[in-house]
Amino acid sequence: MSNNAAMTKNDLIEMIGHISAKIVENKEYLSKLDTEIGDGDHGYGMASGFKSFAEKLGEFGAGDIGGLLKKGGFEIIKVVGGASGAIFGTLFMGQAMHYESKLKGKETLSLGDMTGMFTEALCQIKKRGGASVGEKTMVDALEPAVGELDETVKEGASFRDAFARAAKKAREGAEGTKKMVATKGRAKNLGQRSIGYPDPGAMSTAIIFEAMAEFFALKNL
Amino acid sequence: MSTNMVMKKFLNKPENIVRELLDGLVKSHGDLIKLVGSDLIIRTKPKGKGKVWIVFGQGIGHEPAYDAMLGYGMHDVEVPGGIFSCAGGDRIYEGIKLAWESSGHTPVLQLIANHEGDVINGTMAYEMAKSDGIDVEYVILYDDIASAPKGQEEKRRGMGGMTFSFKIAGAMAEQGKKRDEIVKKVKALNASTRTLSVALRACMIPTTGQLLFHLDESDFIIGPGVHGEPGPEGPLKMMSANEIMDRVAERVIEDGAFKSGDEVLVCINGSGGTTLMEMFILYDRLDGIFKKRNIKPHRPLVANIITTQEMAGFSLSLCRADAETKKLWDSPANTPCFKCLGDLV
Repeated sequence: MSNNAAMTKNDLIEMIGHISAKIVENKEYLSKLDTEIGDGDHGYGMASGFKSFAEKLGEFGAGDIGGLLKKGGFEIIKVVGGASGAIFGTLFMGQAMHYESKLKGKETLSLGDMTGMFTEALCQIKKRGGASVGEKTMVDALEPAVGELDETVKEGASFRDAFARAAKKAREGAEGTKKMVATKGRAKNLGQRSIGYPDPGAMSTAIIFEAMAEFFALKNL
Repeated sequence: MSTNMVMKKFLNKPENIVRELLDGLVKSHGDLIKLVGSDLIIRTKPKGKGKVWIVFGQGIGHEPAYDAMLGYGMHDVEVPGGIFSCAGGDRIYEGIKLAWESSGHTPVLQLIANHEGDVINGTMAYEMAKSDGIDVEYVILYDDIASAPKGQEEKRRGMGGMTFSFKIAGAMAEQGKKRDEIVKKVKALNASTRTLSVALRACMIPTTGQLLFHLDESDFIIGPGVHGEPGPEGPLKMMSANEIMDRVAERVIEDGAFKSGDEVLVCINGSGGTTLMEMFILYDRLDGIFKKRNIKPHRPLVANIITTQEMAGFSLSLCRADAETKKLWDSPANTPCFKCLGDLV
């Protein structure tokens, strides 16, 4: 079974706009989470970075999909700064790397293409941050979500179903960070006292996947 | 302290803090530092070609560390980020590139404080520079004994003791020493550096007005970071200056295995909300501890170096100092907020 649905660059632009709106909507919430175990700036930083990316979508989107994602990734690294900026910037730059090496020139993306892009992003993030599953980071939300996308590709699912399932996995993963002891980032200095609080980066990842799921549901892709 | 406290700081709009801080810093010290583009700080009179340029990227909000400690005898390019949040890797890369080009392609030294964001962005910048053919090496600085146990020193956070490495690296680069020699010296120096901090009261995050952590007025904590993260040990009931210094010095001396006859560099660093009066009272006790243990301090530094806004507290840093280190520590430095007159005194 296979699914021929494809998303265009314009869909991607619209989707990133939607992700940005959701992150901005949650900025107070994400910062509050970060106050518990970090320095309280996660939501504000993420919101300013994604807002800036969304405002420049027209300019960044003038070239191909790879250029759009790469420029957006750099924008997030630059505007957000800190570990969050580098990690969430790499979420887009990693996708761009896969596009450049495997999909160069393609004007539409299949679910398989998107999954490949997210797989590379996950790989780059793990390399950049040195984190793996179980360390109370955004990887705890991203890895199961990407794993689920991989399953849905094999099943020939629609974008809508695939991202709804991936978002559910991301949310479960993010919730699961509550019971973990932080070993990365500033929260690691709390040791056992970090238990009981979710990782703000994992929550952001869940919000990003939920925003994508919402977008595909609205688009009926 | 209540979380409902109103933030009373001399601020305009939160989003303009970085811009206004950088502009004010540079305008008030135009003879020493200037901006390149809108956000890289360099010396007004650059070191010039043929000498190693030192690049550092970090978050702001810790003034004077290290955006106001750039200049003769210290570092050359500062890449400021957001409040407590390291500059992005692409911007640190711009700083490295500027150093490489301005020094006439002399090998560049990048210093990185061991904090997650700083290491991720710093190594990203390093990789970008390397792939551009730039000869750059980095040294990651760590010293906080509260953040990882003995035997896992490389996992420790970079704190007040980084000042020793900045000063020594800066002095060597000024003298025209080769990059590899500086790297070797700084690595050895950093490996012998130990820091432990204490906080009495949290600060407010200037962008949000929220307290960085919660601590009862009757308590204090040992081992908070420079970002005021709650320490791993939890709060203790407030004690006298002498009792606190005894505990802190004991742990620092023990962890660094400082022994009778050792000569050491010393820094008592104020967190921003502690008076110099209190810091000198703390030093008085420390001096007594040194005498009892026959440890010899060399030109101690008692000052606000790495601050965390108005957080009340201090950190104690020590590192071993041989004759060469002492000479480098004494050599001249001239930056906006850190000066060393060398042998002029």
